[in-house]
Amino acid sequence: MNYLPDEPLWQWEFIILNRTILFTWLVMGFLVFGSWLITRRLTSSTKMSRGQNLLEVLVLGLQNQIREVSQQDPGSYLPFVGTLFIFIVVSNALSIVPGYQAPTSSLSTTAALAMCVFVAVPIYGIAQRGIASYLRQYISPSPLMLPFNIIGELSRTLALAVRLYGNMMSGSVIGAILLGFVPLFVPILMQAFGLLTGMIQAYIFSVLAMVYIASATQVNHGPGVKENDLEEDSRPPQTEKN
Amino acid sequence: MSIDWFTFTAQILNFLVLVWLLTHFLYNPIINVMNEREKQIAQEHEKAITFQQQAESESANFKQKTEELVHAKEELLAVAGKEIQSWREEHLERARTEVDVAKAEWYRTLTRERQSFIREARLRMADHIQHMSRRVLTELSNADLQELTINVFLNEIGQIDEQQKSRIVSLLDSTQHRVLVESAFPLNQKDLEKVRVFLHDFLGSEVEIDFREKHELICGIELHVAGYKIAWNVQEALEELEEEFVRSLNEAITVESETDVPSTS
Repeated sequence: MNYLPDEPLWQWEFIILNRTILFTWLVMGFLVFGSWLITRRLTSSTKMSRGQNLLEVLVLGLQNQIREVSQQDPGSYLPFVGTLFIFIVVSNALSIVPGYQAPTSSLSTTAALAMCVFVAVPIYGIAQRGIASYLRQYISPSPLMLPFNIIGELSRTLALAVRLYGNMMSGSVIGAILLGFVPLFVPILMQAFGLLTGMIQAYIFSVLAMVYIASATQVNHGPGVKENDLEEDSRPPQTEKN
Repeated sequence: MSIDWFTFTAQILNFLVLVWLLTHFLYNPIINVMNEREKQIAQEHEKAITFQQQAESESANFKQKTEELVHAKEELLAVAGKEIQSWREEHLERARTEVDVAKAEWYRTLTRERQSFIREARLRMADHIQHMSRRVLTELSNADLQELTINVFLNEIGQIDEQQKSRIVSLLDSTQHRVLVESAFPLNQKDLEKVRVFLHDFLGSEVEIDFREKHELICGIELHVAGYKIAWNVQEALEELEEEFVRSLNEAITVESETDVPSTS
């Protein structure tokens, strides 16, 4: 088993096709096709298909979660945060399929997702508060805090990427190692444990992303306060990971 | 642990594309459907509230109409009660009137029957008394009642004073000297001659005497001279007896009526 998901399977010039991209497309295709299949026959009556019921539960759950975390209307955040959660959940859940390698076990993927969050935070913040108000949070309560705030922004993005990557990669690696000398039963348990970890990591990643965005969009609170909140919010996942 | 920058970039693009695709195929349709359902439920809720208000309004209306009906029913019952009472009183009055009329008619009938009975009783009683008197007189004096009656009659005529006698005689001219003698029983030849002789002696020999039977006299004899009458009979005694008998009968009938009237009314 190859544990380097970014290793090219096919390459032309600088364009490469590796397992990360391939399985990402697979997950994307699964999600989009499944969504299209279900949403092409939607009904507004109370009698609906099980697929529609599942999607409504999912979307409603995401909306409630976003509303709970951000204390704001989830409308504009749902596509971004919801997609993060669904993509990571499905990517991690498909790990039980033999031969599949979760895209989230690639640092490139987790870094790309973290980068998306890193970019989305100022976009949402500026859209919500205006550029001046948003930038002012970096020099509050004192301009001396500017470097620390910037470092905080970068470090939490890095933490996002590494946390998800570390959990997923370690799960795959431990499973593969155990398969080597305890081939019966134990790998199954590890797979089940990996599923649980994958769900938790997806939840942590999307909730943290929402927290970062919410901290950037809330006017009344300074970035220092939000930073503390974020750190507190990011602690439990770290302990769960360990 | 290294980042492949092409993969990194591709994954960013992939993620953005996925965001767009899921927005298009998942979030928007589901949210639209949920909003639409919410709207429908809200409309149905509004409709239900409207229906509830209508129902409450109709319920109140119905309650009011029911109360009005009950009130109208009570009024109708009261009116009907009054009409029934009036009708009852009217018919009771009519029944009382009819009873009174029937009672009066009954009394009239009873009175007629009583009079008829009294008349019949009087006749029978007179007959009986006559027979009884005749038998008693016969047994007592060995003379029959007829003869005694004629003797008494002739004696009474003989006791008429002169003034009255001359007045009777003066009346004879208007009747062409004809007098009428009526007796309750047929007179035999001897009695006829006796009466004739006496009257010729009393009124004059030119007087013509007509004899006629009249049973109503009841053991008596009368002399009619131009509306003037000299009579002796048991009728007066019988009339007294009749009066006494009628009084007794009236008392008996009154007592019977008094006891009968409450039961009939």
